[in-house]
Amino acid sequence: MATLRILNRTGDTAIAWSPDKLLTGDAEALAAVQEAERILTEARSQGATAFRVLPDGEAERLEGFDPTQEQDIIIVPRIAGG
Amino acid sequence: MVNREQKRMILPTIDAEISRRQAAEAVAGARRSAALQAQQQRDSAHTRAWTTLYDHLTDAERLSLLQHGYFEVPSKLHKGRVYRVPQTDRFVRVFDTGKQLRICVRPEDSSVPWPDVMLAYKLGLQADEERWLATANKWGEGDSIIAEAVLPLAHTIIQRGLIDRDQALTALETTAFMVPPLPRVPRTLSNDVNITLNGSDGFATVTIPRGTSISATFRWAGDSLDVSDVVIAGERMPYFADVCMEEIAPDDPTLDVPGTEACESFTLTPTVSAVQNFITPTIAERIRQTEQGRARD
Repeated sequence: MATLRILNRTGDTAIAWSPDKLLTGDAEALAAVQEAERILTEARSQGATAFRVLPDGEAERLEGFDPTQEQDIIIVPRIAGG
Repeated sequence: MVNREQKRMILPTIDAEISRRQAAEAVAGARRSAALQAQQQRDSAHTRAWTTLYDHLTDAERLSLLQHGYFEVPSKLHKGRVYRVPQTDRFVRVFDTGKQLRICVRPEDSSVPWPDVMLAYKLGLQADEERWLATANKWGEGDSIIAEAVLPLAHTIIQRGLIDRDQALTALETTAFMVPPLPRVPRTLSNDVNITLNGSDGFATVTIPRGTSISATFRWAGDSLDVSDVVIAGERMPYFADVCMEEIAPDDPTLDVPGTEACESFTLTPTVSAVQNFITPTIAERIRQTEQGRARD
């Protein structure tokens, strides 16, 4: 499974989809990916940063978006000095 | 005895009073219900955030959080540097070859639960360290720290144009206060007022007897509130004490801690009444201006 979640006042909002099903044209997976892309685009336009969390717990910045990959994406909203 | 004419005059007054009280009770009930619902939503968000955080920590980070109340993120840019992300404090400690620094970064949306902010720190410091450090506010050992307590609240007020009591209280729980260079902090102000320095990070715990008079001045300064002139037991504190303001009379500019019990260590988190009685009047005009600006827009 692949997951995209954006941190927000509710804790987070998460979208999950199966890359395997996406490759077979599964409607549910396609809809989930469309929603994930919408959230990612909107968040980035507002200054958020997306990270991919690797299996070993390390994180890396997510520059593009390949929904066919198994991945765990977390979007951190725009930050400021506290 | 009340005659018929007197009854005729009194009854409408009684009816009106009953109606007024019923209306007031209905309003109070609605407010209680709304506050309860808001609290439930916050609890749910907090629980969800904790789950997400734990799911994304390594075993070692999870264990450290459980045992010590923090987890650490090693720097990839600076050899030997470690960032310590705490569970209860709003500052991340930076340990770097003997020096110590505190940094603070947070989502601009102050309603994001703290466990989510901890996760954001982990991700940001691991994968976007340079930008996070560039964004962070930083304080060195013994530097002054502007009252962290009131800044989030001030931002919330400006952004939302109103005071959410619980959110204000949450913001004020992040209290941190000004500390001058440590050598200037006396260990004892008087026989009853003691200060315990917590290591060399500039934080101090103040121990005072209940009933001790405490006063402070709150002043609106642009986008923040200044806390100054903290006086405990008649002695001016050289820093902004993290003092507990419990019950405060509405028009009383002093903070009297009630009771005469034995000495007690106070973590002074302003209560809702403190927020209302000190901060609300101070910023009422700012709220009015915000609302007027919105109406014009």
